[in-house]
Amino acid sequence: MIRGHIPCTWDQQKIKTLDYTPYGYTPGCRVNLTDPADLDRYIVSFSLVRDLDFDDYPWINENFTWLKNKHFQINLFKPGEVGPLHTDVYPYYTSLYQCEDSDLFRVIVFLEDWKNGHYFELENTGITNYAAGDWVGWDLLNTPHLVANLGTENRYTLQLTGVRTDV
Amino acid sequence: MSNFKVMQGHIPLSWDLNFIESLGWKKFNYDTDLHNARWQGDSDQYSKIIPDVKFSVVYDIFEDYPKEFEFVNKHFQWLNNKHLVLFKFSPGESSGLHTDRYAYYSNKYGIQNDHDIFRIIVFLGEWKSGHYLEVNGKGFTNWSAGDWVGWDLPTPHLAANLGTEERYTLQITGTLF
Repeated sequence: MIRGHIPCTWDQQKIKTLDYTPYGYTPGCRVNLTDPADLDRYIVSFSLVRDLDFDDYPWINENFTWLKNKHFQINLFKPGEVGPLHTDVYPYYTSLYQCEDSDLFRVIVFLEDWKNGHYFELENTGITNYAAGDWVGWDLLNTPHLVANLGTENRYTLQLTGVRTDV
Repeated sequence: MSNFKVMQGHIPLSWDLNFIESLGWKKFNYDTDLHNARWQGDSDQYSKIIPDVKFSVVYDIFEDYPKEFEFVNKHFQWLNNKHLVLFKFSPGESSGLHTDRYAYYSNKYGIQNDHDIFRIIVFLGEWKSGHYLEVNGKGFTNWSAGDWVGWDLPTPHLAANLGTEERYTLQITGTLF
């Protein structure tokens, strides 16, 4: 896991007005580490926006020059929505670029300041009380993490996937 | 965040988690227990956040302080009228953001001023993935068994088990000497 901070140069109000689509969890894109019997206890869902233009988000390329073949989306977790403990794979990406999941790196940028009940956990470390622009990155394969919005306000993050060029 | 009094500390591990697990747990009862809490936001909003308040408790079995809980008197001598409740959050169980009302406690001990009341949560087991406590806008994770967090009334807080293993805590309510 690596962590960092980039200047918050985006329009937070604009992020909130994007056309989010409910996603759910697609089989084959994640490996749940939670007992299936327990999954019924959660509202396992979130919403996202894909097919965004890098030209509208120049700060991504400006700040993450050490990632190539970048794909990004913006995720919205509404109050009560949870992504229980899991690891990710990205078959669409690995097929497109003819690479392996073990080549991939993922970054989450927190687009707003932390709010009550917003919880992120990565590699057995709880991450809370962050500021807008803080980011966390990890090797995509075999890195367990979970997300939850136990609060009363929406949670917005940028999800960035690419291949590191600095290692 | 408001200027509530939040304290942290650690006491040596002196209890048997197997004993605690073997106690007579019962589900938190909406009808009789919910009046003890004041949820943040309106009730409609709350019902969207957490469909059910789910966790288990052991009430009122420590009136005589069995030897397994002698550590409470030893380590929290600065609290009077100590009242103990055990909590178990199973995977997926949460309490939403709320403040406590202390109605039962105040009545039982004849407390005139609720602002004299202090509440402590002792983590009875090591932190495990998905175990979470938030007090007055600060998240607590990665604790050790014996760590504790305390706050005065009416500090907002929430607890959750987003993981795969049970989360056990001891709640101590008392009045500050």
